[in-house]
Amino acid sequence: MKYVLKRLCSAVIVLFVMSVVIFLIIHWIPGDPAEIYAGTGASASTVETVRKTMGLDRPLVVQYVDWLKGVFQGDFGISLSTKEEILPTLATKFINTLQLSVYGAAFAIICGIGLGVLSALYHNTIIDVFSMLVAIIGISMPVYWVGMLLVMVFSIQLGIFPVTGNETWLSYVLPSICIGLNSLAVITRMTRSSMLEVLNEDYIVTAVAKGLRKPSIYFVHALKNAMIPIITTIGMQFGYLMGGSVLTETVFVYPGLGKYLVDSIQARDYPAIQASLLVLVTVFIIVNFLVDLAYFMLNPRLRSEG
Amino acid sequence: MKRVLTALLTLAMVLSMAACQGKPSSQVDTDNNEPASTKVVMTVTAEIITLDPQVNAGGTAANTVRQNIFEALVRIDGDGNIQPSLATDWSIDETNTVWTFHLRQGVKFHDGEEFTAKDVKATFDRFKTNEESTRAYYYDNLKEVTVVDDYTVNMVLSEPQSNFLYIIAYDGSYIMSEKSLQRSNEEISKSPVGTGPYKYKESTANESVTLERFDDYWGDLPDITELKFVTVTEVATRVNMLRSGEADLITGITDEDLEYFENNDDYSIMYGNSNRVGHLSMNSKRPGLDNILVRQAIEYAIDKDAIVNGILGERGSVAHSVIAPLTYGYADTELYSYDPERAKELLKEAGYEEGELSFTIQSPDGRYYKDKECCMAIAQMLNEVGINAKVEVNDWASFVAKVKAPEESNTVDMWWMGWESGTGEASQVLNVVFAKENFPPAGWNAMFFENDEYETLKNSVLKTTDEKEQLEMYARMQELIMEDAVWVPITVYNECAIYNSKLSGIEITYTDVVRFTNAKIS
Repeated sequence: MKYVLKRLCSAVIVLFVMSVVIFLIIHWIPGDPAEIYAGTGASASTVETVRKTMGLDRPLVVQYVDWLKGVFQGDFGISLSTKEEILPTLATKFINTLQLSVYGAAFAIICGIGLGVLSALYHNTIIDVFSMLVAIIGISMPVYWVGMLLVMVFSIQLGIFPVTGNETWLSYVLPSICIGLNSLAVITRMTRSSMLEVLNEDYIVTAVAKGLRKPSIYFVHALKNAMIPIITTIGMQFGYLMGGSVLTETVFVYPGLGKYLVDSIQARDYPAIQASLLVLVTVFIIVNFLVDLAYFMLNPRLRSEG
Repeated sequence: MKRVLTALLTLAMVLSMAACQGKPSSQVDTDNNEPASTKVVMTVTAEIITLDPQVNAGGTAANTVRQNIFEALVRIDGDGNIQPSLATDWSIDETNTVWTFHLRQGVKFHDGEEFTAKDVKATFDRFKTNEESTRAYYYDNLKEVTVVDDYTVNMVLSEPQSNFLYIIAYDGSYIMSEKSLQRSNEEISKSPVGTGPYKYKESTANESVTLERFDDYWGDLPDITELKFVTVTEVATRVNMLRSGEADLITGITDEDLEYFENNDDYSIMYGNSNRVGHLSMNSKRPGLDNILVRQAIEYAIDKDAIVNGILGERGSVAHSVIAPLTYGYADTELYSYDPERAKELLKEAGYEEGELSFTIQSPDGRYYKDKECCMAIAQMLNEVGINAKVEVNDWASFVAKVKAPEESNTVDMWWMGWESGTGEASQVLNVVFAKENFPPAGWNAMFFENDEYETLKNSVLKTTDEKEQLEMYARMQELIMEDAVWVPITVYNECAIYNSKLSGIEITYTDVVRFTNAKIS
């Protein structure tokens, strides 16, 4: 319990520090949202008026405090470019990205652990070589290119899946594979090496000597003990999936958070950037927190120390 | 045992694939995969930020949607001529300040209101009252709009303005219903009310806008019943959408992508004559570039034909002035030809050794067709005459911040841009971009171009009512800019649209906007 509380406190502090950092960085990068909104031909006085209506003529500290006050009341402000409330849009985009990340992660975890275990069990066989080949491909192919290849083959040539959108379940298949492939590779490699290590431990040798059934050795004794590094990897990968969805979302015109963030940065839409980054940071912190909790559950030694 | 395990894990893998697929297949909505033949989807290349015609934000993407919702009193056709639209005829009084427009009768707005003079007044009055109208500066000279009777309206100017009809044809002058303007700015921006052939149906922020046919439209009805504009920023995705049938019309394609669609009867390719001029600008206050001989040397060093033929292909033609031939007031004022030897002589005359000069060219990142590729070619050409040049690519917001920095902190030597005459006549570029009052940060005269004769011409050209005299003035203005060599006009862009051959009657306006008013489906 004390451990959980300690982790929560540090999470809140990280969140606060990040909110300040985010705010400062986006105001510091060159570019003026008023100028972008007013358009290329606009006169100086027009730009000035726009800047006033956007509230950007106020001192930075005042803008920050106002924004923070709003956030505490669940109000992320109004987008500088679309003039619409940020929260409803952000919520939809966030859920879309979460959905895609969960599908991508499910694909990566199940296939990754499966392939990893297989290649550890059949170490130095053709199965092992195949899994490692998949892992190498997954890790080295750029997301953008994978997406394009998938579309070329499955949408244009075979006509099975749509190129874009998120209307039917079919439209989730390609983006999920595209987004999950990299994580799949990382998880496969981690599972393989972790399993190999555990399989050489004395207690596994003992278990085999004792004549325990093979599945019980592999899944109850070996995999469970090999899980700690795998879970860390999965946790980190999920964070990356959420934040790194930009490319996949751009290729598949998937209305998610990553694309929203990039569009907002291009328009220098400060409140929208702040809100989406804050959400991403929060997700990272929560995922890390859950990973820590999972350690806690899996590793009894931590429990006594904590 | 091992075999069982293998089977189990394989099963797990297969299940994981199924898990990715989410909903059961019984819920597939087949309607989505095969759009009815009268529904048309067009991709736009950027976010549609607002549909309010009095707001500048949103660029070509927003203008494309607006073009199909609204009409103005007059419009400019594909040849640059003014044609009747919501006004059937017009006249000007002998003081050259009062324009009288006779309005078309029997025109209905999308909200069911009858179109009359009061709507015209309400539309233009909004520029004076609404602080958020970023296009208001176009109408500074419009003193008042008075209703004569239901179908006659007078527009009173403070002083004569010979490009006024062009301003009235411009996107900002779209007529909205008086009733709809009583709503909040947010509502107007989301679902504005016009008289055009399509009316607003629904939209999803940052993603798409859907219009439906307005069956009470006064003109001939188009065949399209539903017109959807989807934002797709990635060019390869746009191409794939057209090939898979998810989109019916796409723009913003590269020459390389055209190959598949050429000689393919299923698709039509169309080029529009744009009035956007892609050019290299030079900051005449920077060391080295403050010498006119150096600037002229650069004019001679650049092979425009090579850039247009080698990089732009069908998407550009060689420019011979700072504005495009389609723009009213254009004059061919080319003073320089490709002559690297002459360039080297000029540099020597200016007192610079080979390799002594170093410049950086700032390029936007894909805002204009192949902008950075053009910049890289230019850098190479400058290197060949002994000027060290490199290219820096910027996202648009950073680009604007750099170029529009005030003189004392401006470190930009050269930059690539493509100015468009949105109003279809010369003053929008000549009187604004090159005006002395528009030195940064006020405006875009980051060339710091300054010429007394030019200022005099600029201040009187719009008050001149004699057409011949006015054209001469515009020609002289273009000549003065070319003599001072602050711009190297390189190309006049052509917008390109590829669409499903079942569509016909598509037009591309001079502002790169696709117009579906006369669209037919076969």
